[in-house]
Amino acid sequence: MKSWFSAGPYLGGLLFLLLLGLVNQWSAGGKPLFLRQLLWTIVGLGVFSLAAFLDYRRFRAFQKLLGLYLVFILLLLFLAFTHQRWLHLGPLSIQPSEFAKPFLVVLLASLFSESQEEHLSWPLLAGATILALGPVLLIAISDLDQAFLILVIACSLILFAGLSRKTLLVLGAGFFLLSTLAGPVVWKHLKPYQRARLISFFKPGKTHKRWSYQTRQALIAVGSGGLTGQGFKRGLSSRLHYLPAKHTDLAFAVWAEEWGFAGSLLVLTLYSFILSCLLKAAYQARDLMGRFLVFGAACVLFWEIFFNIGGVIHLLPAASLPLPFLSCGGSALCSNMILLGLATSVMIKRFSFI
Amino acid sequence: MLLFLLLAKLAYLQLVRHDFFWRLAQQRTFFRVPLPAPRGRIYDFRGRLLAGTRPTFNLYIDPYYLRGKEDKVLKELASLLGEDFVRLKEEYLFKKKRGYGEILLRRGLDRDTVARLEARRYYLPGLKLLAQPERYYPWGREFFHLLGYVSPITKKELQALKSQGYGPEDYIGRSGLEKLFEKDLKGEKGELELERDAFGRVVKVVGGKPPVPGRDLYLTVDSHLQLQVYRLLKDRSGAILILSPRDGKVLALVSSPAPDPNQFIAGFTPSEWKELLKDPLHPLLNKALQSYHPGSTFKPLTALAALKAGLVKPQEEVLCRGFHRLGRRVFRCWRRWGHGKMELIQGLAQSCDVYFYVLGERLDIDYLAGFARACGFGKPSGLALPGEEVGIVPDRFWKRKTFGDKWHKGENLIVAIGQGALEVNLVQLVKFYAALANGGTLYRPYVISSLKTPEGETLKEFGPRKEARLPVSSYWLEWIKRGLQEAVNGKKGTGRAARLKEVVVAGKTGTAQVVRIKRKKKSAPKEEIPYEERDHAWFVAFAPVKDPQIVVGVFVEHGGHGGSAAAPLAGKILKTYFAGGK
Repeated sequence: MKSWFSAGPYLGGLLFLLLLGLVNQWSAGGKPLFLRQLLWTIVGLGVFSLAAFLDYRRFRAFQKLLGLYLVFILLLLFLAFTHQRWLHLGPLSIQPSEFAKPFLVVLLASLFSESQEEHLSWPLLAGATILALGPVLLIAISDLDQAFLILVIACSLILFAGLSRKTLLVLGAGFFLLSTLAGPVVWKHLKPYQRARLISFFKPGKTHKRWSYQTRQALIAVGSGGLTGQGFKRGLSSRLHYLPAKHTDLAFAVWAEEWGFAGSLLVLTLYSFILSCLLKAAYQARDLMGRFLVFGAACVLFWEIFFNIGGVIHLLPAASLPLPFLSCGGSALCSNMILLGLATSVMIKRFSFI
Repeated sequence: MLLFLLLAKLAYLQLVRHDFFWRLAQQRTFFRVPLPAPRGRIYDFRGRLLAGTRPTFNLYIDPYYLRGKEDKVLKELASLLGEDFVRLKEEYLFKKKRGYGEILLRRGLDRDTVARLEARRYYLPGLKLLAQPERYYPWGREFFHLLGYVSPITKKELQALKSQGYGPEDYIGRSGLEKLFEKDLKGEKGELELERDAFGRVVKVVGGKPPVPGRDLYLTVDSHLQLQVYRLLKDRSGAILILSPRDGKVLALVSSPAPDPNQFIAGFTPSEWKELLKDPLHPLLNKALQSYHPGSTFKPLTALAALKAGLVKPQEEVLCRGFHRLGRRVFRCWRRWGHGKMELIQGLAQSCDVYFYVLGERLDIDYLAGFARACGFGKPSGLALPGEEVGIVPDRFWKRKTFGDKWHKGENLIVAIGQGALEVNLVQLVKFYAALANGGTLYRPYVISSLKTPEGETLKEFGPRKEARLPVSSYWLEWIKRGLQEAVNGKKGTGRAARLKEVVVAGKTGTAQVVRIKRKKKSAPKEEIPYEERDHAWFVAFAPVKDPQIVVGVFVEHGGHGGSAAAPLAGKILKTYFAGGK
């Protein structure tokens, strides 16, 4: 029971964030979206507790997981060929690409935990690369932003597992070569809006006229929030539909407009608190599997937050990625809850030796 | 950690640049719509509406949204309006070239058309339908020169008047009272502050202020009289002014021909406009305010000046042999075989030129000019309508200034009969006759009796204003009056056409030469003289002589003889006035 108490603040922070997410959805999406989000939050909490009570050490059976992984790849393959992002199952619609993240984290964690050396061996690295590239390539067809996020997460995990200096150099040079060669080709095949986003980021104009519509409205929303914000449900940008995708990609803009810098500060503090809890748990984990799992969860959370908020406030090119807990979206919430649940499981199993 | 980077940028955006983004949000969200104020109405003295405001549906189109698909949209629009596409496009292109921003394409649409257009809104980008107050004139032509007209503001005026609250869709008073009282009539624009969502839809009204309608003008004019007077002048070029000699009230002011002021609001087609400008009858000029030679109507003033100076006695006889010789020059009377012996009364009644040549010879021109100015000539008449020509009262100084030449004695004689350089306008002349009629008081003619708020609260009353007295004693005035009475009622009077059975009328004819006598044959019938060279006909009358109620001034441009062209009109007017006036 001691472990549960030590995880208390962390769980509190998580619940508080979920609550803020619900409040934000109430304002941004109105009642129907709020109710849906409420439902998904309850589902997400269920998934979370399921994952938390599960013994993560069972996942070490790599072969079993590989079977599931293949089934998942087949599903992605099907979606890629039909050019869909969503899987519609009656009233439910699920975005399978979101679940690639927990899958990959668990798989990579169980793969890396096999190795006892300081650096990853070549076969392991190759295996990890193949595992990661599968979903990345398939998702890239329909959702490039998501694929890029997964790639970044996989890279962070591989780097965390440790590479020898030689390997790093070789990989770095390879990456550089590849990007110079493939860059123009990829650029050619980007969709116009994606190209426009990149251009509007890398060639920023002096005036706001050079910003794309989405960036401009997001900046106006965030900037007009001021210190204390315009008040709950009073934000001009969100109330009058100036913000596109205000309940998903730009949920943070709604939040920042209505609660101001104080609200943004609160949310960022909560995020960093949860992240620091996770990093501490990764440091204290009993075994390598747990360490990789928790770190993977932290990675997913961090990159999602960074890319989303960075896009909203024009620090990075705008990307259509949901913000954990604040954005609407059942699949994203569930996949995050699975990861955090697994991380919690690692946390509370810290002292058990069964 | 990288999260601090996020925090730093957030702090920058939300704290440092908050004002900038807040302003952007305001600009994006709130916008103001001007609410046009209904223009003030104009009534006659009975309270009959002469100029009002009514709401109409107007169709605006913004060329900005039509770029690249003009044909498509205009075709659709033409079929909905039931008009010819080619002509609609021609009009559109013409207005686009002349205008700026939104183009007013159609005005006064009926309900069905509005509904039809609204239903097809999606296919008609750049289309705007607005219900707006619009000026209208129930009578039109009859009051054109008195009331003036309004027309859309031009680009140049807009730049100059923007600070006074004018917008590109506004109308502005162009002439007559509409121009004179523009500030009072136009009212104050209101404003609506609206909140708009991302799709341009208006979500709610945040604030604003209602428009203040313009003030109403109440005139001294009798619209019945005005309408009849205009009918008399129809098809002829000229002007008629009717004053009350008791206080200077304008009872009717007509200039003919006149365009329909309603058409200035709807707009002219280029060919219509060209025709209007080319018309030899000059419909755009208010002839009551243009200056012409007064001809014989000026003779009473010459006589008064001579009587006052003691240069002539009323009973003194002058022999008219049909001409008068001064040095080597011969001045002809209009009656070539002469009038015989003339004294003051017959001189006025028969308008004998020789009698007044003799007076002119005796008078000093500077004295005569000073006397004429004291009687209100050569300066604004005080009616204050825009576009008045004050005329010319020549004297030695004027001659030197204008021609750099000495005054010749011979010019005295010509000025004495109202020719030469002398020019007066109808208002000045009628004002002078009103003073003759009422015993010597020069009243300033006025046409506005009061200015009221739309609710009927009086803001300003205008009453009679005495400007001056004629600089002669009333004894001499009586002599002149007798002469004018004889001119209408006497056996040989020139103005017999204005004689009435019931009332005693006094008046004076005038025939102002446009071209020198030498060039044309005097005896030629009127039809053989080209229109531009025919004489101007004048007639000014007042009645009843004992207690004058009304002064009528008639001017017919190129009308021919005063006695035959102008006096009958005055007679008809007086007849209707005394038949229906009581």
